[in-house]
Amino acid sequence: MIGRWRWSPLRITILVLATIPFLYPFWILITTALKPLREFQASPISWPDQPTLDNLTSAWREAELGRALVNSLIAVTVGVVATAMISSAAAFWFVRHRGRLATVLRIAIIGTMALPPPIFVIPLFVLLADLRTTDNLIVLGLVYAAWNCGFGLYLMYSYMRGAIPPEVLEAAEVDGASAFRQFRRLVLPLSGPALATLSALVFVWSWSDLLLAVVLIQDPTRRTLVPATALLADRYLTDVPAQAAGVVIALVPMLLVFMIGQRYLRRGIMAGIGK
Amino acid sequence: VTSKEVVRESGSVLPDEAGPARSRRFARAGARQEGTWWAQLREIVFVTPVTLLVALVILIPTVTVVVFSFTAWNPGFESPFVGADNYVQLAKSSAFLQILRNQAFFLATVLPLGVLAPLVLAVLLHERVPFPGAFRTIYFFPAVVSPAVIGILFTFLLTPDGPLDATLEALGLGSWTRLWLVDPVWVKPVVTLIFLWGSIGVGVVIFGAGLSAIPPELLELAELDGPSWWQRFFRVILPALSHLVVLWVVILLISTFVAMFPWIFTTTRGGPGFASTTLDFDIYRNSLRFGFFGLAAAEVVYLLIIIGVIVGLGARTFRSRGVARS
Repeated sequence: MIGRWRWSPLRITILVLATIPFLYPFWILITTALKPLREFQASPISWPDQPTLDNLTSAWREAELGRALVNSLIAVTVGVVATAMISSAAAFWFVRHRGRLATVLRIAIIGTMALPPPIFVIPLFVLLADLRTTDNLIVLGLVYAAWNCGFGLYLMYSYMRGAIPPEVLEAAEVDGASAFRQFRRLVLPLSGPALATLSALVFVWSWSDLLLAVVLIQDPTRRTLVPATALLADRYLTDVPAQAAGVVIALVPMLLVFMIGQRYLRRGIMAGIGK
Repeated sequence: VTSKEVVRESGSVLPDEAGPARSRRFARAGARQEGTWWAQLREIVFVTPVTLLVALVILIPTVTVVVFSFTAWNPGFESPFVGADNYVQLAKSSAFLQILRNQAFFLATVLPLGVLAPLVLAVLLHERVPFPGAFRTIYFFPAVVSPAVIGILFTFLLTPDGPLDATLEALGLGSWTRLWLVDPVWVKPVVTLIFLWGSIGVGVVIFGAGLSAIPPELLELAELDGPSWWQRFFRVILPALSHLVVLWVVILLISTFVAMFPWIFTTTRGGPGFASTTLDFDIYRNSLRFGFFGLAAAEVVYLLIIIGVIVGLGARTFRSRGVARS
């Protein structure tokens, strides 16, 4: 913040104008979700005469977004917990082992960040189909974990090296604490902030995923929320209020996470760019 | 770009090797003191899960796909070796050329707008304005929302005679209405704008962080010198943020190749015709819709090469800039 610079009406105007394209779609979304189809067709942008929750309840029940929400929670929880556990354990091992082989392995795992889902999803689908493990939410969760472990290791490793004084670990070592004990009693409790950041990011990424979920889950009863919403939009091609209701239901969990975790999400982005 | 690509790609551009020397001492101590080979061996369980998971889910499939790109890949059946046939067939197909043209279009539009818009917003926010937090939240929220959900939202905003058209009519701009997602001329610019809508919030956060790291005296000095806002922007702020700009450019570049699927899947399905098909969407369609797994595999290899080039160039620019700065 620069004290000398004057408040400029021009700057504020630009900033306010720039919010319009961001707020307008949400305004339309809410008004649309709350009005019957016929009213939407007559006047697509007005506030509903008599706001109704019918669209929302029918999207929840008929399109089974309720079940999709539960499916998403299962897959994403597995993904978040597995990523947090696996990458913090690995990061601790890499803090203890800095030999050439360990370094190569560490860089290779972190390097998988450069291999996004479009690269590996098709062969992975073929592999999982051979093993008869498609349509499985736990497997989907583990795939989310694998996809996020490169970043998870990068984040946890940098954090542990910066935030945990080696003297503390050395003292524990001298006292005869095993690696497992050090990890459980010292490293995990001290890594709280990094784990929170990692979990918030992995939650948002996995929750938002469409590609992996569309390819690896084809059984309609196992569908997660985002693909279910996308397919609802297909089914109710002309029933725009039904689509809007689906979008509202898909948005609410993201809004909650955003409100709770905004700070962690920003911090995660900063950590990612090396700040 | 959602926040995802940022952190993801930046990791590979900015390898973390800056740890303090003090912890090296401990690393040695850890390796030595733990003592018995048995304890050492038991410790392997710390890295086994990550290694197995990454190998099974990412590395083995990636190698598989490269190998099978040289076959008439037919999962579950025999896949005879066909040499470079898949690549030749792609090079000859007009659809693939159209896809490359589309990618070039997205690159050429996303890049300048995607860098300039968040930069300007971040700079304005950094200057003295009321409620900077509220503005930041508004710009940042879309980055947290699933691209697919944003795609659905815009699809119905842009339906013919839908909310956007009605809004234009209400503003007396009725002649501006278009078949936004159906007209082959408009579909690509519209997809670009939707993509940017969901992405620039992350850029605002990144550049905001970079701006707070510039010493305020530098900016004040620049202002006392009296050049115009734009001169200050280009002469002082842009150079000071150049490392973040390079990083953000790399992120945007990669995203226009590997993160387009959810946007295309929900808005246009690549249509009309191939007018908005991207490489990652075509990989999905070729394999799972049409059953041309070999072609899709060859497209994956192209994608791998493209990512390699972008990351390589990015890392190189980064390193040379880094040296010049220090």
